[in-house]
Amino acid sequence: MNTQAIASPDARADTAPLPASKPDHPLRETLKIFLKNKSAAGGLILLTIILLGTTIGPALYGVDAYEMVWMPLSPPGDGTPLGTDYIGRDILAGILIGGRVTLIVGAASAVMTIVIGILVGAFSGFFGGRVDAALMKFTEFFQVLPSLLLAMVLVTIFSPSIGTIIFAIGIVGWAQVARLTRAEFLRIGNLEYVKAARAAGARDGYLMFRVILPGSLPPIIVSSALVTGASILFEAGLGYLGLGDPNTLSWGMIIGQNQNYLLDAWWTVTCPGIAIFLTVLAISLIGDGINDALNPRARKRA
Amino acid sequence: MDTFQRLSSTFKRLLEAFLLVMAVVVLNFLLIQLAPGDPVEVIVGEMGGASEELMAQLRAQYGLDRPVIEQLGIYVGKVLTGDLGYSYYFNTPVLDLLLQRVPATVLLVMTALFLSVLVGTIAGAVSAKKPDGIGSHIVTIISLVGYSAPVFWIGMMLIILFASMWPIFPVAGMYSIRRPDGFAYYVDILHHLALPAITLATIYVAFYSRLARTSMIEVLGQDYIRTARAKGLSERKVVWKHGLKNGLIPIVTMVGLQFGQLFAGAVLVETVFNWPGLGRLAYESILRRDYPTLLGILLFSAVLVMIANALTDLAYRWIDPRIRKT
Amino acid sequence: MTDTAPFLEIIDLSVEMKTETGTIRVLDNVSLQIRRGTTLGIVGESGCGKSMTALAMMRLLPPGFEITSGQIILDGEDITRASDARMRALRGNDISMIFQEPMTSLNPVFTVGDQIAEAVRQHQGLDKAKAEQRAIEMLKSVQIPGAEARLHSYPHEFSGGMRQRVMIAMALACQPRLIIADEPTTALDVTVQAQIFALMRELQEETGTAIMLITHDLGAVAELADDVAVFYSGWRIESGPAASILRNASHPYTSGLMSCTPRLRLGKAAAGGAADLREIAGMVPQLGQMPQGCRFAPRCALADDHCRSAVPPDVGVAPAHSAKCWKTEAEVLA
Repeated sequence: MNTQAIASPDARADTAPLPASKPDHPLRETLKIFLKNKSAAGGLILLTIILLGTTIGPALYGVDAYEMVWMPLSPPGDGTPLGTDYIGRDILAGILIGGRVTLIVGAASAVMTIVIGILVGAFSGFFGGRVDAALMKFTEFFQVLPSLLLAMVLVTIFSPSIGTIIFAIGIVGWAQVARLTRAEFLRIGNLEYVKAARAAGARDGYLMFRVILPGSLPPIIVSSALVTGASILFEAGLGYLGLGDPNTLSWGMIIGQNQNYLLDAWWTVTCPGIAIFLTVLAISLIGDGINDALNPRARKRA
Repeated sequence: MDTFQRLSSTFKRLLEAFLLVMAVVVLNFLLIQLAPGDPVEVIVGEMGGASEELMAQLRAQYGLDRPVIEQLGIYVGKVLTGDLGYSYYFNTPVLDLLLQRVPATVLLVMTALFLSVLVGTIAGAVSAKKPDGIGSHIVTIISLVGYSAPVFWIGMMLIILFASMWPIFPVAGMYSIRRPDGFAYYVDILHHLALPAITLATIYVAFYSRLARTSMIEVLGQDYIRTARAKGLSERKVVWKHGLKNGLIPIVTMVGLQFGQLFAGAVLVETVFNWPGLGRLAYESILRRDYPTLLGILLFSAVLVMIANALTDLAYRWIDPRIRKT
Repeated sequence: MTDTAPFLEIIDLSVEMKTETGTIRVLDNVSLQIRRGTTLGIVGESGCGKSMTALAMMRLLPPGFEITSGQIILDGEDITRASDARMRALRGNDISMIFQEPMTSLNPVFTVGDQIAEAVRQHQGLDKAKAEQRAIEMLKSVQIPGAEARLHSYPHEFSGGMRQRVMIAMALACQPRLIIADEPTTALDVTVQAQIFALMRELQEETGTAIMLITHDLGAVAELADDVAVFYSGWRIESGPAASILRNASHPYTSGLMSCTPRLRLGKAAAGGAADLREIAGMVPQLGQMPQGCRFAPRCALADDHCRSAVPPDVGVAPAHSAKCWKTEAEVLA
């Protein structure tokens, strides 16, 4: 009773300003809250800079990332802005071009992760019973296995290429998304409007993907930001272990190739690492911002 | 009746764990089958340099001319009798190789886990006491950094800082070149353990501090916390006794779920620090395309995760009496 | 044990809540007295400030709430000025509290024995074995069967009524001078309610402790209380001896409440009281949107323009019995 007494005035203070502003489309409302959030806007700006850097950056900079251009292991400022690696390649050029693989693989495998997760979770939560039990055992299997190790084995056996790396990362990380989707489906599946649609004779497929899925999207969208960040870190890890596509540079790969020179040439590993860090940070900030925008009341507590 | 139920639930858990490990065995078999090229090449490893005779002998041994189901039977039988194959690169049975490397990994992973849960919980609980205070913002920032930085890179930065610029820790390895005797031997190992364990703990400190904060904020708002205060207990007892034991429940649950990922992180950290565990072995066997070892590590990691889950389960029962009876 | 001198006295207590938009006064100049060994019943709807009064006495107001004026004097000591350390020594030892929700007020991860013994160890410095012994005694005194065995049980292994008995045992463990019971039976079955009330009365006779019983149930007050205070949206609108109030409710709100309580309506009707309201029309005003004059005026059948513009005074209607109402005097004079 007392907790209620405390919660209610708070809640009023929270919701009061909303009706005051003129009624907006919910999406625009969400976007507004998102852009007002300083750290989320910062993340968006950071990500935009990174995307520009990796797309038009190499052409603007004009240095070939794969050629020896200077003395090996020369420090930043001494002929090249961020120094050179152990065979004299320009680190800045490597970072600009290496971001492409990292971002493409990160995004593509995140999409794969989310799609598998949604499918498994949707079937599990929608049909329940034995389907649910079987799918959840299957999910648990993937949740318990060390995902990086499984991805390493897959990439090693099927030999590293952008395709196998995307596949390997996509196939190992979907368990969390599946659990989340399942929980949302269980919750929403019992709401009145779903029951009504069911009573009106809607087919299972329509119910799942047209009726229930849209309602369960907000938490999935938030977790997809986390998944994208994790996929990028994953790709970096594989690249670092020498399991990147041998035909293209990636950030993790630059770090891995130079790790033996880390004590003599800190810039070779530090700079690409900062690139990974900032990219994932930008995505995390955006994810937090989406989270706050989608449920503004959680912001106070979080 | 009660003991019978408890026994049967324990048995059920064991059976489930066993089935999960068997699923990994089947997965391994499928990977060998699906791999491009002759399965024997996978079994031997690309760099194994096995002779034609040996290949023919293995083909017969694994019954590769027989139906797939029968091959699976042979494979499972071998794994169950402890035959994980032979590493031609290391020239040792895979099982022996793995058993040699397990202690180093367990030491690293358990230390990192202990550090991250301890530091994460304390940081989370402290910041939960003042959700809008400076401590809370620091936890948020640390957890953002921990989430976003690649763990192997954090390790390298720590090496640059604490092994090169300010050399208070060794760069890599588990022992000094001249191994000291007696007590000093263990101190030496701890000295080598510090950086890798801190590195591996960093990401999970971020994770657990955030989790602990959410959990403690919720717990500290509960009615029984008010009861504890109404009893006249000090704030210290209210938070660290009545609050923490409840706040730990979701943390223990996550420890069980996260253990596999912690192990995956160990692969990267062991590689950075040249720590002689299973993770470093995984890296080495990738370089040599030593598939039997790699698949063995996958299986072993599943077994280790199962053991860790069983331990978590015990901890969970100890912390939450409501679970005990069911 | 009954003694006429007030042993707890609350004088003009105000509590305010700070929000983003300003402060809201949730308790406005409330005064109360409790005599040694007696029971004071506090009655009112939820949100009227009953629980805030209790938490203010424990100095356990939730964050954002603050005592802004007034005194709470316990045996000559103003506890609004007591240090935190002094408050910890008082809580659980001199004043203890029984909460509304027995299901959530016990810590689920400690045995009930631990939770009872903890209070004794904290305040009386008993060792583990002695504290445990004391916990067994307490469980016996609240009539929990098999006390020795139940000592090691966890809260989830008890029913709601049994948990509330455990809460009472915990509250009584250090023989406090005052027990605040905040709606101790609201969450329980009616039959269990009667048992809990009987137990409280019995324990009071044995130990001579004073009780402040917070409830919205006038029936419970009629059964247990020596004195009554009625609260309405942060005001104490009527107070006096239970018998006097039940016989002669002077505030329209109190009479309204009584006509809502079936057990009491007959007696009241026989005494020829105010109109039979059955239920009080309208809603309690929202905190922060208080009417200018009497806070009850918008719902009051007797209210006139004067009531709506000026805050009514406390008017004595009988010995030690007063009501905060413009209309009371007229009624008494008539």
